[in-house]
Amino acid sequence: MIYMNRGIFWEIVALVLTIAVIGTVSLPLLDNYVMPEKREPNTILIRAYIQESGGFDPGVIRVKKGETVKLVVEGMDVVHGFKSEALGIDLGPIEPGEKKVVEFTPKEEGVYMFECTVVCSPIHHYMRGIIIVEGE
Amino acid sequence: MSRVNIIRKQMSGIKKICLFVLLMLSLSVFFLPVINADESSIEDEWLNDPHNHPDDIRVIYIKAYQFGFDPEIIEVNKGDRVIFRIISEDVTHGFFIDGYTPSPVDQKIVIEPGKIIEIGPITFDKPGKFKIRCSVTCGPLHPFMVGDIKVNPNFTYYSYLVGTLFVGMLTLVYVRRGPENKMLGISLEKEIDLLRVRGIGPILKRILQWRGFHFAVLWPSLLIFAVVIVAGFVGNPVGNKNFSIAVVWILWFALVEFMILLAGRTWCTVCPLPAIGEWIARRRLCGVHNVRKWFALKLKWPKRLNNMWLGALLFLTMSLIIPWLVTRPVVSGLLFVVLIAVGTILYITHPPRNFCRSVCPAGAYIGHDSNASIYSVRARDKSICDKHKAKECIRGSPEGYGCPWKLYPGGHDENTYCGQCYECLKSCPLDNMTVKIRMIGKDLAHMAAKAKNKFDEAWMGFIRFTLGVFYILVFFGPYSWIRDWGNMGVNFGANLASIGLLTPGVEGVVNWFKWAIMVAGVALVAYPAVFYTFSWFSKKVAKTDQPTKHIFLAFSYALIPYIVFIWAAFAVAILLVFWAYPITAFSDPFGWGWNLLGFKFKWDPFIPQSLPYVLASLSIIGMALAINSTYNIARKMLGGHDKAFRATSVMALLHILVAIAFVWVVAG
Repeated sequence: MIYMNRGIFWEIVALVLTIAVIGTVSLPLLDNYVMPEKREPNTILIRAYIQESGGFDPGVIRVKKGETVKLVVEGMDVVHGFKSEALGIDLGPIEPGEKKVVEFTPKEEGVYMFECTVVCSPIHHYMRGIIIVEGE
Repeated sequence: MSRVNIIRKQMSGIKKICLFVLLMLSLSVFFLPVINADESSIEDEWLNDPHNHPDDIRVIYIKAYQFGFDPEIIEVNKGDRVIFRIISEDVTHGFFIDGYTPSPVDQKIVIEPGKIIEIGPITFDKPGKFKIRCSVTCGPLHPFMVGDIKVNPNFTYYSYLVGTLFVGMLTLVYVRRGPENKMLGISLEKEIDLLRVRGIGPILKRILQWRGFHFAVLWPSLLIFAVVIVAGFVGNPVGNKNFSIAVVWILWFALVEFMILLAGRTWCTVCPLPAIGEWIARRRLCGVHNVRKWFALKLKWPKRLNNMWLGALLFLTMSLIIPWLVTRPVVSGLLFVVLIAVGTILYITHPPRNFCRSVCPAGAYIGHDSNASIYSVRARDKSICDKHKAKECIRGSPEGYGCPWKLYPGGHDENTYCGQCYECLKSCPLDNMTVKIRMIGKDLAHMAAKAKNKFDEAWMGFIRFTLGVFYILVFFGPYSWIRDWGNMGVNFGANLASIGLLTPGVEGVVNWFKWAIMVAGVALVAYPAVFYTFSWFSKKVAKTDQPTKHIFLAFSYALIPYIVFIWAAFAVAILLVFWAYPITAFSDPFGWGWNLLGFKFKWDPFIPQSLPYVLASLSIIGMALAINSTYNIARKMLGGHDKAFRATSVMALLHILVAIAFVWVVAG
């Protein structure tokens, strides 16, 4: 005994809704649109994780000589720090969920190191990254 | 010749240097701790307090570490003025005392490694037990990094001890009067037919009978579930910032506990785990199609598994890895992928809902506990069902499927295996199915009378009950070593990319086995043994010839209302302390700093100093219900008020003792 379906229209609506759920896998891609720091020009978002989970993300930053750059450092998991002695930047402790901002204009080409200043994990001392200042 | 000698000499010189370097390298291993010299000097400085405080101030030294405080329990006297001198042993921690320090949103106390923090003087003017909590995310188990501070004399504790005894005795005095078919003064025979209540009744009926209802309530949870899995795999490795942990293990978990009490198995109505399988088997998302021929293999479910054992043991297994499960997004994500895969496959191989009945760990405990619910789907008049031969509720009709839970809806009188899919409301041509609201514990007595060999349901009760009490001690207690055992000593959170961080050391695995034996031993052996002993005594005291086994199994059903209230207490504790995490997770599902919905909340416990009162009160209500349920069960089983009361008085002793233990855990 096969009952004829009533409301095939609603079946299709429900099917479309169900298939749309698969779209949630693309949700992480929204990152570039949702985070204002990723849209603004000359702004670089650095996420700070403990070194075991990847450390600074990104860990290599390329900037142009003479161009003012805004660095936004976001604490992700535990309290971190951000310091570059060569560039004269020290943001102090950054709590998880907190964002600290610094603007600077690199004057000379070269490779500059930055590091975490708060003991954040057993291999905290390896939590570093580099800023590469390129010429014109 | 001399040249050869010179080369030899040079060679031995190089060798010497090599040896020297090697020696120094190996020696340096011994000096490695000295590299952290400034840390130990901080420790000296921490203890060498300059003592320039006034005389009436007490200095308490605290060391914070992942994940606890040393000392674990601090005792002060009422009126003491205290300065806390705190250092951190590893990473940056925070410091917060329930009801004494300002809200962490206004003023956060941060303890950085290498620094000494002095807090106070705090005047301890309120007596009781308060929790010291970490207020800065410090690692995966940060939410459970707590210590105790007792302000003596602890009047809260003493008054709750007296209160527990008093309520226990009062309940016994009440059942001594022989209330028949009543629960704490409310008749169990009285039921409200929710679908005939004026006003909301007809509206509710239309909604429940609408074929799209199931899909409409299921789809949102499917969407949330998909986000949970995605967030678990790619989101922030820290649990409390990740949607998968915050929404499932704080919001879902707590809501389910209240739902069990107020709305039975409503979670099973909206659960997305078997949904995909069901849709494939039915070849319909909303409508009714071919009720006889499932698009599936239709294998027969083994009779041996047609009970709660598998679900109960899976629930226990999940509970053994709970320190990982509730703090590591990837562990939760993987578990849900496995569950949804098994749920889908089993629906296609063994339709209909055998997965929900016998395999799903959540289904097992929700089903078991929902027997204490005030909510039930029942027939209005069973005699109508008995006379009606067509039995659309089993066979299905154009309006609705036959019961996918393999029940006879017209005759069933327990919530255990009723998943509240409301198909019987749709298929019944006589409009004889309805939702009934009744007093807690209505079905327990006749369930217990039928429980001749239902060890599965009894053990599900023991597992749930013990874990409910035990987890409050583990997750909200000061003993960090228990948490460390369960956590296998791993201090990292993880998503799919960093899953390798979850590799435990040998010591961690050994400790986990200790933890597993402890938890499983208490839940599967120790408490049931105690329960059996008390059942044996109550048999002797009641002078009945019923076998102890039957009494033991029957009385285990009295635990169900107790379980519901103990876990409700746990849920209240979780919601009051962590409410900010799930709300924020909707705005920032991956913990990447998004703000989709325009709001974000920081961790700020809501009146946490009230927790001992709320938790202890809930456990006392549960105890009273358990004692009265025992009496109702005994009255039905043993026949006669006198025997029933004697048996109840013995079991009441156990229930009161457990309530006292619970009050000690939360307030003592």
